[in-house]
Amino acid sequence: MHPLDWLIIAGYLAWVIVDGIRRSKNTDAVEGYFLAGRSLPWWAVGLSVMATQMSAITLVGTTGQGYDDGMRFVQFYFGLPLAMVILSVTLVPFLYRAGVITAYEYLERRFDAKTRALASILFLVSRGLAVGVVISAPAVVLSIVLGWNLVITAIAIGVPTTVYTMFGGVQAVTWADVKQMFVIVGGVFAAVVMLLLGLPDEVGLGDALRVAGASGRLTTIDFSLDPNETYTFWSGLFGGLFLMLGYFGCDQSQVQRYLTAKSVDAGRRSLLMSAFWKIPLQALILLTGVLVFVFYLFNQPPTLFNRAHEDAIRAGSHAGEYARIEQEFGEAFAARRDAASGMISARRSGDVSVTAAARDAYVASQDRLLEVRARAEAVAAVAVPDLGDDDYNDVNYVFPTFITTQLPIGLVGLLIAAIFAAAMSSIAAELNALSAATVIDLYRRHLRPGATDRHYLVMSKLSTAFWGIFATVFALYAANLGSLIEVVNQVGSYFYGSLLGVFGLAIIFRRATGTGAFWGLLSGMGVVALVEATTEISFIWYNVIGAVVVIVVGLVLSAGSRSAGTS
Amino acid sequence: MPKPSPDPADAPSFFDTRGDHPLGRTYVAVLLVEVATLVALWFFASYFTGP
Repeated sequence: MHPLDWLIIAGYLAWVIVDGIRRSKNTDAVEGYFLAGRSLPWWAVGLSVMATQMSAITLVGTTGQGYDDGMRFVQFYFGLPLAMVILSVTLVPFLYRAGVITAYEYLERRFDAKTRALASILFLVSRGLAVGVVISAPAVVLSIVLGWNLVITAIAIGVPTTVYTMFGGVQAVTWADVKQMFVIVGGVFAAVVMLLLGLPDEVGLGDALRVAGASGRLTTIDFSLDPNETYTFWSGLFGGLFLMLGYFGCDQSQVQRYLTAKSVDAGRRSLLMSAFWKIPLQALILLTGVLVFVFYLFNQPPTLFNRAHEDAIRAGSHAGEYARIEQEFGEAFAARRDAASGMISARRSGDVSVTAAARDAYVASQDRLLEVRARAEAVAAVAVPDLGDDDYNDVNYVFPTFITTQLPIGLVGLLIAAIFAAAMSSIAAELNALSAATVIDLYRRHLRPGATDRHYLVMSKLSTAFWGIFATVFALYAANLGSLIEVVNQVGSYFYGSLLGVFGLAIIFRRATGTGAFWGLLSGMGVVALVEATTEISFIWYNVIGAVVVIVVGLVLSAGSRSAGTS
Repeated sequence: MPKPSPDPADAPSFFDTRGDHPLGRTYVAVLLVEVATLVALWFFASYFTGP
């Protein structure tokens, strides 16, 4: 990278830390540290909500998904606007007026201490490990793409985030999120402009999109009813609705965002900002990936986007075989490039049959290229150590590779800073929320009740530091354990639906009891684990299953415990 | 001695709208924008995926 790009990245990191700490007003008390004295404007909270949800995995993975699979992933978010409206009407005013710092605090008021402790511990385990993965995934990608040591990339992401979150509390988190959202969106728009400018002179935007469409990259809505399909209209609308209700309604990292707003209405408006903008923003990021695909139709891509894997293959016993595959890949690329140009020319001729034939030829050339690439992936699977049993996947390297090899000086720095920003915005909110749950739900409630506010403030800062160090160290460990990352993600998917069920019991069903809620929560997670182990049902439906099981079991046990109490 | 569950009757109402600024039109706007966005995505995909 050029020194100017390094300067931009270093300047960005310094700016986030210094400005984050400078803005840390009202953090001399626990409520100020975790809720900013409930003083933040709706638009800042709204941008923080969006930044928290958009991790580096989202930015890098989603563009890669757009490149590899097209825009189908946008359906995942179809339930989000509806979830935001439901939460604005129900849970936001409910939790805000309850005057709680953590969402789980409310569960003790409504049920009992054990239900609150269970929910809080589930959150800490699930999100504590997940935040390590949120650091690990971009750290691995950036270390390979930039040629840095993994320890350095993990520290470059984890340490600055921990520093400004620890000293500045939620004020620093929120205002850093605001800046980071502008960096992320600005970076994505800059990439789109460069991608459009990078098209050959004879290829217009409409032509590019038609070629992408012929490759199936622009399919956005699939009305399939197959429950094993993750990205369909119905799974996004209904499964996604429950997932988003659970995430925005019961995950402390998001609940804490809107509890910092200066009023109930400000909290609602902050969520409704996502309701308006999330789908268009996600579609733009996926479209960016599609445009990267189009760019590589006319500019030869690497056979494999993971440079470290290519280096390992070339240095091993499969080097000769891989060299032959690379040569075939180059020929297949040239044939596909010519077929794509032929399709564009044929369409301009206006002859329907010629256009259809050219389109078929293009699709065949794309299939041929994928067949050659599949052979390269098969070589990687045997030549690269520690890949595990999963299908070979290098989609997360597509966008960073494009950034570092195709963008001009300056923009490389901006886009790498955007990836850092996406990672840091999610991590900071998680660290602040983990600290809140640790200190408010466990330390203050069970270990050291009755201490001074000053004591809890110090413990909150130390707790933030602990979680930041834990997450950064765990990120280094997780980088070498693919299966563990899967386990972490699965625990998260067990968690949201079941927790949503508990809050549903608490708020909707007045006759629900603490015993019903506690065992209902455990039952919900158990049933989801069973469904995951014995069926092929997509994980997006786990949230529906978990919520329904918790409510049904909770109501049955509540009725049982009430009749036992009366008899 | 475990703490007994609070009386469920003390739980506040599910729909608590005390002192709220009415956001009904905003909610309708959210739903209309979502429908418009989905229709636009569908047309976009159909137009560029077709022959």
